[in-house]
Parts: sequence; structure tokens; C-alpha cells
Amino acid sequence: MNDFYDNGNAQEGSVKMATAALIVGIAAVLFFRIFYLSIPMAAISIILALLSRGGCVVSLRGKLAIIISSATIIFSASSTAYTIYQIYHDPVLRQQFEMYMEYFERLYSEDDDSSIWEPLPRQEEDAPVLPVEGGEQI
Amino acid sequence: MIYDNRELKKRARQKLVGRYGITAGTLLLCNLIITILFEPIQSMIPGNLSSLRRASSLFSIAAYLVCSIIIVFLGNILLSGYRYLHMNIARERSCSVSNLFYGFNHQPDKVILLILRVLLINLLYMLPCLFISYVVGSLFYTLLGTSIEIFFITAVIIAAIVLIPVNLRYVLIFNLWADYPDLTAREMTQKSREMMQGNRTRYFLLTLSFIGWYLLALLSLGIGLIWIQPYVMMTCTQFYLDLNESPRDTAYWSDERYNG
Repeated sequence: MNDFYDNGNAQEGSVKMATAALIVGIAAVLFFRIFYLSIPMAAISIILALLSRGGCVVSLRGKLAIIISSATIIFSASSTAYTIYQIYHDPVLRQQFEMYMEYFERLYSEDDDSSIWEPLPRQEEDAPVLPVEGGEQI
Repeated sequence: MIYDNRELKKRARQKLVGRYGITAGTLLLCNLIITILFEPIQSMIPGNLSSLRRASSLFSIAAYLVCSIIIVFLGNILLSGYRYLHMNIARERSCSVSNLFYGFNHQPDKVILLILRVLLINLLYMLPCLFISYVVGSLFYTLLGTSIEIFFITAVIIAAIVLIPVNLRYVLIFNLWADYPDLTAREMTQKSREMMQGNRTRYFLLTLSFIGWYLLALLSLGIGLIWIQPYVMMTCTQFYLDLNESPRDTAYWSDERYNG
């Protein structure tokens, strides 16, 4: 009976995949403020690093890619969560956010196409005055 | 020799080192072909339910259903070719993207028969499930006044409980089709059932062990599946090879067609 596991040269992992994982991991770190870029890139980096090991242990590059990518996912997710928390709990940010949302709703509304070309209201003229710490206005 | 799941996964990764290009490329091509085939017929289905009364809408629904069935068969023939590619990689044979179309020029009728057999078996188990779900749903509706949605929830739960073990019996049919072209569709389903006897839990746990990988794929917005799918497929191929190369003692296996 033939041994179908007789594999010969495939013991070592893929160096190219580990390098690709590291590059994608570093790219994920660079985009870490943009969660919808950094998290997918970091996940791809982890997948590539884990698969690059083949039948043996993960190489140094692979390990580095996994560490960098895991840290990126954690930081990116926490940073995004913190930003969302801030928006919903800081009245100034919330007001600005709602202003932007209103602007985008007008921008993409189907009722009035001319509204697309209306600029975002200037802070000092149209937008409500936002109180800040120290009593000064924005 | 029966290897544990960790060993099978390790061997799958070993086999795929340096071959992700061809497996991922073939997978993309397969998905592209299915999408291109399926996209035009999506427009056949009417947009709103009120238009269903019109004869033209009914005709378009019928056309949609017929086309969908044809595409399901075509898709499965392509997938059988994809499985054949993995068999070639696992056995260190030469492989290429053209393996994807292997099913079209090597007994495509047998692939269709295999799919039909599995579909009919599923339907056979599905009908009592639907009946039980209807009874349970009606009971809940009468006694507790719950909404009719309970019927669908019960149907899904019962179908999952019943159909998963049933389908686990037939997971090896396409591997057998690639390995034993002389067998009939009936013999292949029978052999798959025999091979999976006592191994269904093992296979189920093997597939469950990929949950972490699929979570990573989810984080990568599905892009990671390009590499994960070949890995899963290769692990299943290793599982099949492990069973196929194991010593067997039943009379069924002594048939010379299985040992050729």
C-alpha cells in the first residue's frame, strides 16, 4: 500500500507567505486609525502567517506578523470603540457629528438634486454655537 | 492508519505550501464562473410579490427555478473538479487550473446523479421534519399564542439536528468519484456511507475546528477565504485519504475495483 503521506520536501514552511504576512501586517499598522482597512489587513496577515508554517512551527517573520497584526486589531478596535463612545457622550462632538450626518443626508437625498452643491454650513454663520470649556466659542 | 485531526490539518498545510497560487486562483475562477452564470438569471425574478399573480411573472419564476437548478448542477460539477485538483495535490500528481473542468469531460452525468441522490435523501428526511415543525409550531400557536415564526425556527432546528448527521454520510462522494470512476453513483453513496461509519463525529469535529479560521475570514471581510477554503478542502481530502488508505476488513472493500 502506498503511503500517501510520503511528502519529502514539504516539511518547511513558506518564506514568501511569511514575508507577505509581515508586509500586510506593517501596512495594517500604518492604517491603524482607519479600522475598515487595518482590521481586514491584520486578519489577512494573521491568516497568511499561520498558513505559512506548513508542517512545522511558525517562522520568526510569521510570529512577528502575528504579534503586530493582533496588536493592530486590538488597538484599532479599541480606538474606534473609544471614538464612538466619545461621539455619543461628548455633546460638542455629537453636535458636529449630527451636522455632518445631516449634510450627507442632504447630499445623497433623491428629492432635491440641487442640494448636492450646497456647501457645508460655515461654523460661525449657520451652525449652532458650540460651547467649549473655558466659556469661549468655537 | 487513522490520524487525529491536528495531524490531518498539519499534513494539509504541508501539502499546500507553495501551491496556494493554483488553489486560490482556481477557487476564484470557480466563483467567477458561478457568479457570471448566476447574475443574468437574477433579473428573471419579479421585484415585488404583487406582480406574482401575472402569468408573465409566474413564467419568469418557473424559468428562474429551472435556471437555478441547472446552475446548481453546473456549480457542483465545477466543485467536483476543484476537489479533483486537491486530490492531485495531495497525491503529488501534476495539477493545473484545467482540473476545475475535469468533471465536464469525465462522467458529468455521474456527478449529476450523485447530487440528485443526495438531494433526494435530504428531501426524504426533510418531509417528516417539516411535518413535525408544523405540529410543534401549531401547538405553540394554539397553546401559547406565539407567532407563526416559531414554525420556521423549529423547522431550522429540527432540520439541523436531522440533516447534519445524514449529510455527513455523503461527504466523501466526490472524492470517491475522482478515485473510482468505474463505480456507479449508487455504489459511491453506499461506499461513502460505509467509510463514514464511526467517523462522522470525527469529521464533524474536524469541520468545527475551523471556526477560528472562519472568524478570521469574517474579520478580513471574506478576503481570507481565498486561502482558508483550499486549506479546509485539503484537510477534508486528507481525511478521505486517511480513511481510504486505512486497512479495511469488510467484504465490501475486497472488490477488485476498489483496489485497482
